[in-house]
Amino acid sequence: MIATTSNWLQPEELARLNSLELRARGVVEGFLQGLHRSPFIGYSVEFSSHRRYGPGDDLRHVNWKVFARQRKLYVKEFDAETNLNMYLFVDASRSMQCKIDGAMTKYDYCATLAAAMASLAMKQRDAVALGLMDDGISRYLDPSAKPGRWEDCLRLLSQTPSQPVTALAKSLEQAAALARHRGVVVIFSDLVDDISGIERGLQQLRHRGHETIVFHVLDPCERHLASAGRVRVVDMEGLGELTTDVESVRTGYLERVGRWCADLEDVCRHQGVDRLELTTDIPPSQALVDYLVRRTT
Amino acid sequence: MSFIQAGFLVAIASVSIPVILHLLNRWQVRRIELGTMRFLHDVIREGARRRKIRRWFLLAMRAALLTLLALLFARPFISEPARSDGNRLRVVLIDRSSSMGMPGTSGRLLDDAVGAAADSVNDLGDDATVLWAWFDRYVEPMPSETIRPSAPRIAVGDTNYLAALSWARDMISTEPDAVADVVLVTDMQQTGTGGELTDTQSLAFPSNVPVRIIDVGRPAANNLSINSLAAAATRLDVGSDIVLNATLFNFGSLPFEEIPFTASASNGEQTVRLKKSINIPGGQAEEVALDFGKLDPGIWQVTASIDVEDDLAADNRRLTALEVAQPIEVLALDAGTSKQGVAAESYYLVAALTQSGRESPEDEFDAEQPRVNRGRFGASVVYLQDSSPTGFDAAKHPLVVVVDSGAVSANMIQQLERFVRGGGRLLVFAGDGDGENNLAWWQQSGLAPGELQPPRRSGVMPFRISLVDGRSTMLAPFVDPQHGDLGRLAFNMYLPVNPNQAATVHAEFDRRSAALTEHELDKGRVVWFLSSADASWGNWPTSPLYLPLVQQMASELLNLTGEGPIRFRLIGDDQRLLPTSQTNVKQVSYRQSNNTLQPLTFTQSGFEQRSDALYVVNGSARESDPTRIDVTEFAKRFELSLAQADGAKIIASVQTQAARELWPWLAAAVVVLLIAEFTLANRTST
Repeated sequence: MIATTSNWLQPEELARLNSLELRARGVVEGFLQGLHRSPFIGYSVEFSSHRRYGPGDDLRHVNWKVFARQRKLYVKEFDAETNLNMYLFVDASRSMQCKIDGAMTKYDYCATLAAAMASLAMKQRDAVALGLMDDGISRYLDPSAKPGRWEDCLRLLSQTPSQPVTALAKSLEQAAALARHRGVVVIFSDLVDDISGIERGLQQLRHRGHETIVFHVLDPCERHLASAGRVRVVDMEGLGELTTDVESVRTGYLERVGRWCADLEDVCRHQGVDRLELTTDIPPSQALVDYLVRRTT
Repeated sequence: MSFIQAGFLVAIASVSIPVILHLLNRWQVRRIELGTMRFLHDVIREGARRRKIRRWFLLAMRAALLTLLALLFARPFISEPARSDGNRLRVVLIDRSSSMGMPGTSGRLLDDAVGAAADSVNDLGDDATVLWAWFDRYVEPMPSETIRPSAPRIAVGDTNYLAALSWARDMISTEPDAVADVVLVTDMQQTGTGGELTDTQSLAFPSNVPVRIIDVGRPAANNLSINSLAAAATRLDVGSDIVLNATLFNFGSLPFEEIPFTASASNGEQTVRLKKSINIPGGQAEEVALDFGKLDPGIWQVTASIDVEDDLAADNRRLTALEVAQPIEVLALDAGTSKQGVAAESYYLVAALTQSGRESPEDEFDAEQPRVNRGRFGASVVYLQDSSPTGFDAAKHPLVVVVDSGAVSANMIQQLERFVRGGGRLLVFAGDGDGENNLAWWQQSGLAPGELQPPRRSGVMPFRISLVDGRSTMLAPFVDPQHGDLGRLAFNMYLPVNPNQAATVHAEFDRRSAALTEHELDKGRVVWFLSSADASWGNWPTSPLYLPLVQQMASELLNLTGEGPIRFRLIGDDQRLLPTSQTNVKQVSYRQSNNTLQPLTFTQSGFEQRSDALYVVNGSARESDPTRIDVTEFAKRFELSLAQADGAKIIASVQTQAARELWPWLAAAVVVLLIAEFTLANRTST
């Protein structure tokens, strides 16, 4: 079902493409090759197949006729709809400019993913909305399925300035307010903010009935702290700087990052949000495929 | 703390290596911008202090490790105040000179010295080495098993500190690893320090060897001594009054009055005694003349003594001897006539032979001084132009002197040959005379020392005596140029001779030509002086050396050279050899063929008649002087390092000798530090 990963453009190769459009198209092409025969599986009104009922499935999709005959619960799956609203929110704070061990900055990585998803959505004639988050939603494009929407998205993603601080909770709350119609909300962020604020924001999105997906993007160094020796660490959001031996702090750092990711995972699960943890050294196409495959299984 | 390999201390500089690495590590910082720094901040804030302490501790540990390694190779040691008597060497020198016979607190000073010496070794352990020795003029080591010496019954020698300290120095030098010190027990007699300061300074006593001086002397001695007793000459003419002079000295501060003075002279058959009463003020000398009148021919032994109770009895008696005899008749053959007077060839010669003078038989006989035994010869001259002797009688004239060998006829030479072959002695002076063939006659007679050649005349530069055989008793007094430089004599002519093997050449002219020869002919002996006896061939009759040289020639032929039949010795002098100034360890005795021990030195005063001569043995007059020298001045004179009175310096020097190496402890510390560093470094890096 999934093509070999060698067909995907590696982050290093994508980084050499200056144009976000080219990068996004590369990701989309790779994504489509990866899916191969597999149709885009999503929420649609056209029946696609049955699967066994699981906790949380909407009872409206239960095939009662099958239940009457076989005394087993099956839910119906549908092909993608064409009038879906897809809200893309990309974190554009200062911390997203981090590029240490990865091939591109976290923002570039997220922008590439966002552009790719916008492209895929536009291919299904879905309406795409795009917002940039820093200390709030600083830029926003309303949902639209017009042919020039994708170029608008690319333009917005390419010109975004970075803000020094992150107010993710505030941004999510604003995003929930902006996404008035029910749809799929995709958030691209490093989630470096107060977890309780993030939880509140996600809660509001859920309250609006959005299907929320979080791409949690980190630089490999941020996730694994693989550097060695003595380093002077500068906080990208202005919290100062400090000098230390990596070896002496790695254990404690990884422990805290792991705990932080686990807390985020708990929060997302509790709010019914899919969280996909990525590092910028993973090919964006593979990230998309992995996520969508997981969603369909 | 000291170090055996101090050069390795340079390696301590390697301590800078971890410091430099540490600093380089600080400087080589990589800058990164992190979005998740809040977590890092939490981690660092939580363990920053602990990690900082740990890093500095690690740095200090590494620096200490390198320092310990450097110290380990440098092999440090510390000196511990350990006492090791096994390496101790104490030389105890006890003065047993004559002056130690003075009364002390427990008998004699010598008894006090023995007690003090025994006490001086009480602070030593059983394993220390103690070398005991007596000393006076010589050093006599005691047996090695000596624990406490026994004081000798009599003390008769004279003090010589230089000999004692030299012996101690030599003993210490044989034990270079020992911690040595010297204990000198003496009465601090000043005369024992010797005369010349250079002699004492040549001792070169090791400065690191402390010398402890135990003074047992009397602060103020009361002593009256006979310092000298001598006649005008040891050989005096029969018929002359025999007068001896005695010198007495009162070394005390109080006068001696009415002191009985007795002198006796004995020849074995007769004894002549003189008695006098002496008054001597304190600190003064008194010359006493002893007139024995006319004495019979022979050797007389003279003893002078004073009957006084003073501190030192050994110097209250003094001995001497003298010979009363007729002068030896010498016959001189002069080729001229008696009418020539002072122009006669024999004039100077006879005057020199018959010259009489005062002879001073000193206590110390000096073989290098010319012994002008004046008055020993009575000379008569035969003027050959006036009369011709018909023969020579060796009993009447044991010595015949030919004043001019060139003026003697063949007949006379034949008579002289018979005279010599019969046991006579012949002294021949060269001369041109008026004979032409007499050189051949001399050679035919056997009286010539070899092949005689015609006289040789000098040019502008006169001939001089360039070589003197010091081994001959005849010329021994002239070996030292300070006593008589024969090289100053100038000669215009001499008689060359090619000596035969039987002849002994005692002196030579410049051209390796004999100047003075001696050879035997049957029972007799002949001496040739190969220049003239008068001033015709040189100016030497006007030289002060003329008289002693002529006297020595005559005396040699008559066996009067050397010391003669009366020989004066001091207690401690070698019985076989002439005394010298060299200080030696005394050889106590030697073993004869009959396995009996015989002393090598004279051990007591008195007369000893031996086959070769009469020996007169006295104690040294220097011992009579009780003047003392201060200990500090004594140490300064001999350049000694004085020990403290309680011996603290000696003990301290021993206690600083034990060295304990610290490398085992350092090695253990290095191992511990290595383990700690390994553990801490691993924990710090993770």
